[in-house]
Amino acid sequence: MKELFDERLSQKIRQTFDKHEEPYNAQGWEMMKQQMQAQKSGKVRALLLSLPAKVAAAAVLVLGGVFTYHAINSNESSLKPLQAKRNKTIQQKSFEGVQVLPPSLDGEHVAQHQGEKSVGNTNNPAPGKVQTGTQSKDARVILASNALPETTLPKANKKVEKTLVSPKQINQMRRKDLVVGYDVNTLTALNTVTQSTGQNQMIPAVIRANYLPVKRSKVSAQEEVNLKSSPFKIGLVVSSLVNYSDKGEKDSQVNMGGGLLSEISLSKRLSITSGVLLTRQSLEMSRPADLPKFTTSQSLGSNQVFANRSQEQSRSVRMQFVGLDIPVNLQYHLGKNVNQGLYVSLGLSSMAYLQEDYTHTTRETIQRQVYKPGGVTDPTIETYVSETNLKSNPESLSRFDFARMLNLSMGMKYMVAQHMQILIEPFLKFPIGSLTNEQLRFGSAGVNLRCSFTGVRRH
Amino acid sequence: MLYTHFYGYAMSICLRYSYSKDEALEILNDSFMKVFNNILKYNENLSFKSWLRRIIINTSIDYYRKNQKHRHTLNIEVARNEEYRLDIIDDLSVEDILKLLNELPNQYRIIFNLYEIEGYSHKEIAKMLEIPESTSRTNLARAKKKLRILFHQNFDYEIEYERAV
Repeated sequence: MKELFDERLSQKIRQTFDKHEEPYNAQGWEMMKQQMQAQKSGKVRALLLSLPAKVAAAAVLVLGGVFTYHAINSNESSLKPLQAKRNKTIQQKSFEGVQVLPPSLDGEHVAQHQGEKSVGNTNNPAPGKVQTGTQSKDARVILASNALPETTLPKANKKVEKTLVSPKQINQMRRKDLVVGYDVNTLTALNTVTQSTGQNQMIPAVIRANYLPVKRSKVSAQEEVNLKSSPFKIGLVVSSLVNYSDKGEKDSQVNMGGGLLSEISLSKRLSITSGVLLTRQSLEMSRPADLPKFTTSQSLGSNQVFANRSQEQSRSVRMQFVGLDIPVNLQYHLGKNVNQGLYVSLGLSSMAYLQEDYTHTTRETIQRQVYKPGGVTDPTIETYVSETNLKSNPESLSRFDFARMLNLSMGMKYMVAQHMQILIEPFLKFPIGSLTNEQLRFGSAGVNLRCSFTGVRRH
Repeated sequence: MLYTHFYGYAMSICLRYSYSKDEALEILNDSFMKVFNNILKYNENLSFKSWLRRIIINTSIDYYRKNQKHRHTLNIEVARNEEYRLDIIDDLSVEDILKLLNELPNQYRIIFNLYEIEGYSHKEIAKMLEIPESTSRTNLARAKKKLRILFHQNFDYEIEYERAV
């Protein structure tokens, strides 16, 4: 009897459920959507936790390091000297001689006073003055002088001789007359002798660059970070950055950096981060171009006389260096969970320079007026651009800028494994003082990718 | 939409394997997640309902394994009077049956469902639940016995029974 009852009951249950269908409940689909969303984020997390993701992260770090190393090694080859622009009648020669100015742009420009004699007068050429005459078929402006004022420059700082050569040589030239001297770093005229700019008068020309030594401070570039306090994290950082100047100039080149950063907890949310990053930075900045504007006149022969007039001047410096960035930042976590989430960071960076390369470029537009004899016809006007490039390579670690950069950043921290975090940190570095041996003010902006490991102790 | 179309069918299966509608919904959604994730594995030559049913059953078993530590086995009540009224069985509604099933211990219920309703053999059930085949047989017998008692307790008031200590 009971077997029959069991069979009937089972049959009833089976039949009932075969026919039965529960009415649709929209709440089920809402829950389903949430579950699918959670699964999607879970997949991302699983992807990050997966071995390929870890391998990819490691590859990114290694590639960043290789790229930085390559960038450092190729730094020298990328610093090709700029060629002086040529124009119709004036060539700038001996530029290569200018680049040997170790260790910096030292010296001063000295202009040479040229002769005062009028056309046709070839007698009694006064020292330091260029005598021009009707028989002269070429004009040459000598940009070097042996009669420079005594300086205290070391022997390494050779006197610079530059020669501008026109197609036709001038018959006579004088070197010893100092007309204008100026410090190339500030371009402030030291000594100027001007003369009338009449048609037949000799006018001073810029003839010599001689440079004052840049003061160097022998400061050690080592800043030790005490990592002995127990709760800390250490991580690898790869950084991409672009430099900018406080005048708003930006560099088109994206530079890379990399290094080690440690994080020491001060309280639950507050921690201090410090480390060493090897970075390559570059920027072209304009500088004040207060070169003395000059006017000269020369005889071209055949009764022609020309007058040169300096019209437009510009000056810039191209900086490229590989240095050590030593930041010390305070990091504050905005969320309760300090292992992931948003954080802000504020601190200071010190800089040491391993390799510095500077190229100073001075461009000057010169207008030449050529007068034909008799002065009846209008003068022919020609325009030339003269460009001078000067390079300097200060010694490695010759300067240490302590706490000259303000660091601001805000980042996101992701916990990808039990002892591993990935931090993506956009940053801005703002100069609070002059940097490098050239006393430049520049900052940088970029993104740090940090892979931080916990539970590691260094003794 | 697949979910909406098969909701009623799937939910009726889930309710047999769960103690509440919330649990049933959880099993249902987990099952549909598996369906969506493995839809490319579906063999079109087979019935989708059969495939869905199999997924729901497997999900229910997983759910049972996950939660079996939290379930308590009830004492078996033994009916003194072995008289049965078969006509009352026909009057049982879905709610009545669910009430009966929900009073079964979890393992009894799942074995009863798998054997009596889904048609699996004890060998298959033993493999699915990772239990000895004999345990499956024993638990099925106990499930049926428990259902008889529950039936009498809830629906057949004319038959006296008493609780065994």
